[in-house]
Amino acid sequence: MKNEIQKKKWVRENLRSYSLLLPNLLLFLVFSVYPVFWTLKYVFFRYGGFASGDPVFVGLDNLIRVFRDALYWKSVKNTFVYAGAKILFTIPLAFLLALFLSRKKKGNAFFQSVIFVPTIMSSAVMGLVFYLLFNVYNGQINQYLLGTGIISQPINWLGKDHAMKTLVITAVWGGVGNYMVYFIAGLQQISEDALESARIDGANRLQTMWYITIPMLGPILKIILMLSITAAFSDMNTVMVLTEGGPTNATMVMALYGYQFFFPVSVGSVVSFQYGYGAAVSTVNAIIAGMVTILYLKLSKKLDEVY
Amino acid sequence: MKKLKQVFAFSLAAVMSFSLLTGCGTGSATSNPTGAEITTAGGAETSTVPSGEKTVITIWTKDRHDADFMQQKVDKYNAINTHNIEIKYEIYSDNYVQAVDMVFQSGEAPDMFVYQEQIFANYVHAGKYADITPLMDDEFKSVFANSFINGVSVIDGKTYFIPTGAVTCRLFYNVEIFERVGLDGPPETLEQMVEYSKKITAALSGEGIYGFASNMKGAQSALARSFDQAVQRSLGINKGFDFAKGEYDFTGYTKIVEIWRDLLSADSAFPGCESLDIDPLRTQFAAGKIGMYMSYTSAEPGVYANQFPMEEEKWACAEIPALSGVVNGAQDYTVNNGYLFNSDSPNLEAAWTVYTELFANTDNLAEYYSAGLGISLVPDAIAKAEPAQCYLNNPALLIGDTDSIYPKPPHTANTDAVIIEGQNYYDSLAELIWNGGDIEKGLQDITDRYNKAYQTGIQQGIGQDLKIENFDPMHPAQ
Repeated sequence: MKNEIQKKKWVRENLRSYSLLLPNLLLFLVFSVYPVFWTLKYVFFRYGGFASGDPVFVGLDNLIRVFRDALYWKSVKNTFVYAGAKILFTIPLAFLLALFLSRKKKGNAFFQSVIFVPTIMSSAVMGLVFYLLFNVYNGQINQYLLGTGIISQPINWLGKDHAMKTLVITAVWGGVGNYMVYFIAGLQQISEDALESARIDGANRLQTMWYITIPMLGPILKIILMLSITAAFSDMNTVMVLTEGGPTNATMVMALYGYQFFFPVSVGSVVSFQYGYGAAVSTVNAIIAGMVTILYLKLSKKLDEVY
Repeated sequence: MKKLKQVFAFSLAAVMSFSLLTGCGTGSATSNPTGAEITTAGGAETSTVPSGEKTVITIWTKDRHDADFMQQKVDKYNAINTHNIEIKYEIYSDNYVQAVDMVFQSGEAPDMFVYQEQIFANYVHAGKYADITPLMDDEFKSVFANSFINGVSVIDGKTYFIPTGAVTCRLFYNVEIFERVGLDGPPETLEQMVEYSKKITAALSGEGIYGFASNMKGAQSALARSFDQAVQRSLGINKGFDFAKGEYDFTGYTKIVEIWRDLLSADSAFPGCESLDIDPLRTQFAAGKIGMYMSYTSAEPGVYANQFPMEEEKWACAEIPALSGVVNGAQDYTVNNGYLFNSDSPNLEAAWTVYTELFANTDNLAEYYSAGLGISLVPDAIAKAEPAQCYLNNPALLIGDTDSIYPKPPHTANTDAVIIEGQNYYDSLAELIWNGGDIEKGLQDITDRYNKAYQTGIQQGIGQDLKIENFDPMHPAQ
């Protein structure tokens, strides 16, 4: 009798919540979980797609090929460089912008909105626009730099020497607004009393920021850094549009390298469908990104300790 | 009230879940695959057809340059045909290959597709296209005798499509720029091409005019319309495969790689070729900033007539030169404007009727050729036509005596049979061109990787030995 009552109570309290979660759960299972198992299955097969006949079991051949694929490891190196540079510039810049714009001042809301706009823009469109801006021959950036005398020769922004820098600039521009908003949310949670006390004790703005604000942002900074690491490792759209991983694979990143075994990278490219190898590459990508995330979480435990 | 809210919440969740499942269900036979851009040419509205009355034939194409012309023909046919047939002519812009993949997987393929090399290669061996040989009569075979090309439209004795057009690559050059620097005609050797390019750049770079450009943002897109052809004419090798030896051999490419290095160097080439895409290149050519480049004969006249207008007398085209002017092989051309028939279509005979009366109608083909929309392969159409002015001004645009069709090399004949590890040869060549390094070592590496993949495919029973006895690169189609 008692169990019946408890059961009815549980149903009464939780049924509504779980039923509202059901659509999201279905979407998650179909579009996130199922593709992972589909991919893991084809890691062990040679499969050229729908028209190529039945998949052929090849055991660990695909994974062994990943480890001897010099181009894949070049893409891993490029991804670390890209992710590292993107985070190095995006996070401090987002923090500084949040610091300036989180105060309730006239115009701050407008600037917050403007800086946030790139986050909601299509990254493919963004890549296309920057492709035009960074054009070495008649792009606006070179024209401005030449016109103001900052440079005397046009810079080949999308050539092999500078393409990665250009990608990072585009990525920072696209991502800073998103992280600024997270920092603003974090700053607004900081107790005014702590800041007031620091001011009364004679701390200047820089000291307040260093000894009070940044440490108290610890927990949210941990989340922001983790999100930025995972996003940087899966970035692909901007690379695909801006450089297609070139020139000569100078900007090929892990996600794009795996993608090209399933889909054409550009209109003119011809795909040699290798679903099995692409699945193996994607699996190794996920393992690398996972290892980096786990390492980061171990190293960032201190950020949980707030004064 | 509380109970009412619970019921409402539960119902809402159930409806949302149910709508997800039905949203994933199959649509109509002509539903648009997700992500594919689809337009109907000219914006023509087709009326809703009550089922059971007219036979609807759905035709997919990837071509936009002839959209208005084709839609006009389709609309007229829909209005006057006496077979109770209605054609739905659908244009897929840039993701034709992906769209075809999706409909074959979902079982919703249209009745006919415009031929495209990759969709043909991907699905012909899977039996997705109908053998149209039994549908042809003797008159048809006679009119289209040039279109039965073994290894291209005819595979293992079965005919899958009838190409009525052809496309090749040529050197396009700016006549005005050439005159300004005192060059009285296009280069006749690859070495001369470098010399001319450097001369133009030296004389006119101050005005932002440069000798040569290539759309190297995509190495395959750039080199497949330029480098491949220079190799065919100079060495008689198609895409690295030597049919006489029956193996890949890129080692003879050394001199041509050196020439391309020179051609794309700072004292010759348009700045930023590493990241230049084909349309930005064409824009600059139309603006008179580029002396020479190489591209396909099917697209360029239309591009400079409509897309990036350039006066016709300012540009011309010529054959792609060979090393030292010595021609050792024909230049490959590809066929187009053929239609593939879905082997699972319930309307195959009706589709064939549409095809013969509309798309294989020699009057329509003559009109197409006269409009400068494509180069014809059909003698009857050519005889009836008045060639477009661009073909009269530039006869090099047409298929000539030095053009032929090569057999397909193993990696394009059957993509499953030759799985290359590492970069494809276009990316490897681009690396040698841009990054320097030992060319011979690099070419040997490409040769070894391609031969390894080729032999592996043969050993696994997927690939075939493609050696051709007495192969003559000057007449590869024989």
